[in-house]
Amino acid sequence: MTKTPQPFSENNEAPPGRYQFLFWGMVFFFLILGTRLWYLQIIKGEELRNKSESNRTEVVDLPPVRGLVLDRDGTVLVDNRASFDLCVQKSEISDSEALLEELAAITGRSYEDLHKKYTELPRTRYVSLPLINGLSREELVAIESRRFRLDGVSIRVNSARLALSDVFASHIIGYLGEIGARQLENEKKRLDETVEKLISDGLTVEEARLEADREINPHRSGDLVGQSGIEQSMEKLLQGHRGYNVREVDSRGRVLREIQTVNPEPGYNLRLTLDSRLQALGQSLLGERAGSIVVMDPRNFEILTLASSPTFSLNDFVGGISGSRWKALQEDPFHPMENRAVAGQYPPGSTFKIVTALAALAEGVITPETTFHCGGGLRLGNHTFGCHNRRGHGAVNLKRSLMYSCDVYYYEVGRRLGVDRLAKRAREFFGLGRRMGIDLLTEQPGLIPDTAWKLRRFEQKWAPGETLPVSIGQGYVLCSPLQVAQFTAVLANGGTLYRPHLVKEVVDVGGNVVKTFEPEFISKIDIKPEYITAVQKGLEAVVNEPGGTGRRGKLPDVLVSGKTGTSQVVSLKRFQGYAKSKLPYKYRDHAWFTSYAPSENPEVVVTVLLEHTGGGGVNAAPIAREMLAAYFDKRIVAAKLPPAQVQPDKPTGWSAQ
Amino acid sequence: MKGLSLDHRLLENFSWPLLFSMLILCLCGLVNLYSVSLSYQFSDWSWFFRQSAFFGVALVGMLVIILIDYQYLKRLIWPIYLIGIISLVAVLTMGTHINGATRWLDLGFMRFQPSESVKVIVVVALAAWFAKRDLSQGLGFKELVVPLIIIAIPLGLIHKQPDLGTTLHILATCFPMFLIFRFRPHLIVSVLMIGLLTIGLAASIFASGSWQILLDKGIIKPYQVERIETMFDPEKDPSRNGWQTLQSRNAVGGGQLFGRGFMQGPQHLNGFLPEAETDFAFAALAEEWGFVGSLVVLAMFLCLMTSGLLVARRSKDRFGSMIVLGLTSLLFWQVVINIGMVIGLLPVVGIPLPFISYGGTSLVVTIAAVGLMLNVGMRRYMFQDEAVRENPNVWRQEPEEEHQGLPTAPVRRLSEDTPFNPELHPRHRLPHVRPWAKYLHRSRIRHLD
Repeated sequence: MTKTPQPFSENNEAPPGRYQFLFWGMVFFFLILGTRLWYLQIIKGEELRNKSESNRTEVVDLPPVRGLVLDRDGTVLVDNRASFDLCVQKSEISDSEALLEELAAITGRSYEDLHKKYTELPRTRYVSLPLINGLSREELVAIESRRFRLDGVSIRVNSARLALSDVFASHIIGYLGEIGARQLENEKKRLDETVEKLISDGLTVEEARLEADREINPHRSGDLVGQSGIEQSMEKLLQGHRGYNVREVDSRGRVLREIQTVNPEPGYNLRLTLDSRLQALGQSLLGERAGSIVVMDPRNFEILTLASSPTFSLNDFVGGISGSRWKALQEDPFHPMENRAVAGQYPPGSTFKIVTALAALAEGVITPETTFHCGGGLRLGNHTFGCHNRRGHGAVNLKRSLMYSCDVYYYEVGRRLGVDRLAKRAREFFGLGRRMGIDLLTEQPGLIPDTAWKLRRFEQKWAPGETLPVSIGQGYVLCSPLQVAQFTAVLANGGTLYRPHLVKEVVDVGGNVVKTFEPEFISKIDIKPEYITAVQKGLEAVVNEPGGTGRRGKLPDVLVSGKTGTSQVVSLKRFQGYAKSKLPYKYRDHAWFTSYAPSENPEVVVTVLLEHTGGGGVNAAPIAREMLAAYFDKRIVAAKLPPAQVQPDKPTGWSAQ
Repeated sequence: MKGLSLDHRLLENFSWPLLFSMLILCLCGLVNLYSVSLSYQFSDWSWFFRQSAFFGVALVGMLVIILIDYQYLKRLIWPIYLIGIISLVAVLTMGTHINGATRWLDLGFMRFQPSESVKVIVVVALAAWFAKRDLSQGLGFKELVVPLIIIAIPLGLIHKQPDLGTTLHILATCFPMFLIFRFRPHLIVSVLMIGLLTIGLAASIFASGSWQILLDKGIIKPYQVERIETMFDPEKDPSRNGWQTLQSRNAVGGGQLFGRGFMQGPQHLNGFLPEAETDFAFAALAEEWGFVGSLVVLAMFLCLMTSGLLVARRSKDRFGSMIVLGLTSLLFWQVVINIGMVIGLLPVVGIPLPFISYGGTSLVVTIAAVGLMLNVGMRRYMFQDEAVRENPNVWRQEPEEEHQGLPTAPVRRLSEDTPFNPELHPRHRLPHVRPWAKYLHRSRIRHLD
């Protein structure tokens, strides 16, 4: 084909299809772009919009302030404070040795310790981990002023509990610890159940969630919760409700505006029935001896003192207890973590004779005038049950039996009464052998044996000879010091059993009383009042009459009634009759003394237990006397006081005196 | 003066769709920039005002470019090309160093990025070169040598900056300018061979995993590998490389069908969208105006480029045709690379979206390019007009007989009533439809006076 001569234009050699090809190619590319846009904006639009929403909003958790614990006068026993941890982020630290040397120099801790702790920390990219827990203010200032030199070091503020004294009520107050996985799971399970229940009740899912959240008030991982004492049992009241703050932020984390704020509600303050002066005194009287002191008001069963020794330091638990310290506490042969006042299980010894006497009187087995002869022992079958006085007490009636603490009298009473009737009365009159629901979760039920129990426990019949030790508080009987105080208080107030309690009032932050714990009536002894009076007279004689076993509990101004007890730990003959110091510690007798005063109109019950100390009248009674004296004379305070806490609006704290 | 005269016939062939789609896109860009300016808490209006000022300047520049006949460029382009090369060398020797790359020349009053204008210069230079060749036999090796040199010099200089995005962009831009010609058979064969070899080589390298060697020898930079990995899996490294891709995807997807509304896009208002004013402007736009808005913008671009192709096809000479084709291709690839990057189809490279992104140089250059396209389009008949004025009977002349000894098929003549000589065979010519002709009625009458 010849070329077409076209004189005034250059021939464009473009083949005709090329422009169309280019056009469709272009359209193809634009279609790809459009499809991708459709995919992103229509198909994945919802998901990506959510992503970009969560991108710009930030939910800040507002933890609530934990409630305070006050004593009955309003002295703050446990306060909140800030604790400061030094945290390091390993990925940011290039020269760890120089840094640790500097830190060691600033804080005065040893380089080796820091280095050891530092090498144990895992290497993380975005998270700072605590290297030093609980910095002091001076260390904090020193570190803050050197911040520009310390790369990768940050200070984390934690909330911690500040106890008025770290020792004198450790068992009652308890310590905080990070919430465990199982507790979290339980809470979650309960939450789910509640939600389901509410939904089946006709609420919408959202409402049900809110309502259940309100009701269960679940914790989060990492929260500090009470692990013992009041902190644990009153967790729901102390905890408060957490709040949150939804904010809009920009890419640098600056807050642009707040979308929604739900303020945290602080936990309720608890006002205990505890008298911190008496508590401190009790703890200092026990000193280094293992034992327990319970002071209770018999009129309403408010617990004034619940001392248990040995004790532990609450401050060890601030910011997490160290492993070695925890191990030491756990392996201590004296078990300092155990609250002996409610969890200690001891044979009550002769103090139990109060229970036996009242049970026998109620059953009509004896009258106050019933007299038995004590010849130093009672023979049952081929075994002689001895009295503590080998020579015998002669003719003994109820009053004398209590005064001299004659065992043979109660053997006889027990033999006539039978263990089942004794156990029944002990349970219904005094609430023994079961948990009374005091506000401490470690409370133990004790043990009041009967034939059914024996059959259940050992699959054996009850032997008649076993009744006799039970009737003098030996054998299978176990009571905690609180339970001993409890039956003493029942006797003191004329036969009424209330529930012993430790929390007096729940107060909100504004000082308004939310809830008052009134004494909760449980039962009343339905026997002739003169029988009760007879037992009371017997206890009065124990302290005040010349031959009484509890003479050392006598006070000059106030008429005190009491009962001693010396409970044997082992019944082996070969250990009896030895001097206390010659016996191995664990075989020595427990010393009991339980008392109330004034005798006519009792206001206070004091029960003292000293573990493995020997005779109750000699060892326990003087301590009870000190407590009673301190109860009536407000000037008596513990020799070594815990550091006083400044309470500007409460000038009448016990430490101010 | 020949160039500056504004004949009404110039307006008759003026490509209004090209102009209007460009203006609409510019307005979209300004509206978008207005919203993006309000990003962060301090409202920074200066971007918006500066861009508006640049827009005004660019419009004036475009008017000037339209008025000057593009035929001058045929000779003028070589000194301009030289200046472009010199400026690129100047960038390498005394340019401003920002973010690990030397791309800017500091002129005192403004920073200037020569690689932007070099793109246009390369296109025009290629067109000027091709315009002089006799390509009636199609492209062969011989015709490829000089164009490749023309491309390679600035490309090498830009690659040294380093600016991989612009390098690839120029390559992609020039590709259709070759593609428009007929290829000679040996070229077709060798191109196919080279293509197959390249694919095979790449496949073998990829399969054997020996592309680490490329990394070790510095042919590929590690950050480039990272960027490509990020494109495929942005969640892998969300805080660093994946951040832009992720945030831009969130922004685009968050727009959904109708968008969040004007000045309501949280991704860029709260500063999560990086470079929301320049490279990721389209993400902000898609977030605020949604799928519908994005499609409108895409359609505007398609309209602009289609009219560009039409202009190229109808232009009177190869020079103009090649210019318009190259410029259309330039804009097209810029749009595809930028939007592809924004919606996560391509790795992140720093190429702005024409007319929409903030950037003075870019805006002036792209508007100037459109001006050039309009210039070519409206001067469709100018040359012939001159010729006809000189010799009104030119179309009546018989062509010179070619004596080749053999009888030839009769050449098909144009019909007598067609006043102009279209460069294409009528069979392939587009119908000359001018829907806007009725609005030109008055001017036609005035001209008849």
